Amino acid sequence: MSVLVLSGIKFAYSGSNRKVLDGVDLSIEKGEAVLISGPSGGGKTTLCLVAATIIPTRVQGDFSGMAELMGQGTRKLGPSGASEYVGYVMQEPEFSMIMPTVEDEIAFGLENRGREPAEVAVAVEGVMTRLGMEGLAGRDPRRLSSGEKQLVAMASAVVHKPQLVILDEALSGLDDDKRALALAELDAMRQGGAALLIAEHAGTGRQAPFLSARRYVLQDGRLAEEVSG
Amino acid sequence: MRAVSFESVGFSYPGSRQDKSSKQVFEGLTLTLVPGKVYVMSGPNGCGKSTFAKLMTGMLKPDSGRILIGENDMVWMGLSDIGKHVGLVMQNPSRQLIMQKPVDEIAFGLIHRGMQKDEAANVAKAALRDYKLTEIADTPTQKLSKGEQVRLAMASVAVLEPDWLLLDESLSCLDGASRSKVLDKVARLVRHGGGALIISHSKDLAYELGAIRILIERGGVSVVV
Ligand SMILES: Nc1ncnc2c1ncn2[C@@H]1O[C@H](COP(=O)(O)OP(=O)(O)OP(=O)(O)O)[C@@H](O)[C@H]1O
Ligand SMILES: Nc1ncnc2c1ncn2[C@@H]1O[C@H](COP(=O)(O)OP(=O)(O)OP(=O)(O)O)[C@@H](O)[C@H]1O
Ligand SMILES: [Mg+2]
Ligand SMILES: [Mg+2]
Repeated sequence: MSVLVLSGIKFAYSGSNRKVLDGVDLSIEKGEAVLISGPSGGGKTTLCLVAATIIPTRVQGDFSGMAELMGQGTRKLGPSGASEYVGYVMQEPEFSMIMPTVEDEIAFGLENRGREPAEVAVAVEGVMTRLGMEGLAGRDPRRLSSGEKQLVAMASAVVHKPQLVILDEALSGLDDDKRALALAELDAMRQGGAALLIAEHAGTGRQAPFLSARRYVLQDGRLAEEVSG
Repeated sequence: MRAVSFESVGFSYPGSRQDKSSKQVFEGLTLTLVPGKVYVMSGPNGCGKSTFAKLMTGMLKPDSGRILIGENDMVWMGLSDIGKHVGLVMQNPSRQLIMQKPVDEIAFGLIHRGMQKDEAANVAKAALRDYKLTEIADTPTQKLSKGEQVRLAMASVAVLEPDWLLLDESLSCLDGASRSKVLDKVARLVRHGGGALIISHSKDLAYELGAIRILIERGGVSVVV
């Protein structure tokens, strides 16, 4: 079973007649990484929103096509049903932060999913150590630098070990050391069977997990596979 | 065109209700940026790059020391006065976009400066074309994609023709075509005696632009030519 299957996806935001997505087909298997690049305004974030099931359930617009996550239709699944399977690092992570401390923010998703307190504590400490962000534990997540916020968002997105990790330009703001830690975490997840959907501008490195990634350019509403050279 | 000097600048973010400890970012920071040059600033996450940019535009005030534009201490200058000299494209541009329509966003600063509405609208429309934003002219500014917001913020700042242009991680949000456009603008500004400060994690950028590198380490700043 594929982790994500998108077929013939078309989407226009309400109030606009431009089809931002105009026939997108994409499927991602377990353990696979897919990299999407393309011009600014080309629809990368929109595609991430579809994969995370936020489109069509929470964002208004004209949607057609078939989207399945772990074999289930996303319209039925909805964002809360999908959140069990998906970790999503948004391009503007600050809007998604609600808890008073970084530690609570990362724990929130786990507690929400009904995990035991002891398990939550171990998982939160583990991910903070692996991403080198121990020093941020007691800080207010809204009062951090942009890169620090990106790290918090990344930790929150991966801590529940989702089957699909979606990253929307989530690496470009990290310094070299943090970026290396984030990439190591992502590649470990991929090796453990997670699928990765990564939107990044061109020029993203050649190291794991990008080494083996399928690469696409999203332009004029459609995906074109890049032939590796 | 005027130099900008940081003289023994100290700055801390005050504590909040949840997180009471204040957060010191700079202490005794002394640095002069000379017009006619491009500076590329880098350093680890949280070292204070965005804070530096906000101090330089007067959005934040130093706790100690002073920041001069030419001979003038910025504490005594109003924000619109500072705006004639320094323009910033923020790392999270959605925060600096205040109008609903892109064209009004660009015109806003011009009208505030005393330009007639019609003339401002014409300048704004030309700037929209210039930054390839005509297709999204009817999209509310808060709904634009990140790269579109960066271009709109850039257009809004550029029409005011400040002496100094500050770009906080703006280039990494742009595709090849708009990146060249923005770098063109920077080069033109510098040729005419202005200056630019570009904040970026890119290792190659300073070399590509023949710029002066400023490295911020936690607790200290070094300048590498
Ligand atoms: N809520 C909305 N209403 C109307 N138009 C929208 C809305 N959200 C996005 N758009 C438009 O849809 C297009 C695609 O946006 P999207 O954010 O998916 O682009 P992107 O490829 O992620 O761009 P970037 O590289 O700049 O982040 C853009 O032109 C944008 O202005
Ligand atoms: N509003 C705030 N309140 C309290 N502390 C803050 C606030 N904004 C930033 N900080 C802290 O001040 C320090 C400097 O932050 P700044 O945003 O200037 O870093 P930066 O170099 O721009 O980092 P990045 O590369 O992540 O953008 C960081 O330690 C950060 O946690
Ligand atoms: Mg985007
Ligand atoms: Mg910053």
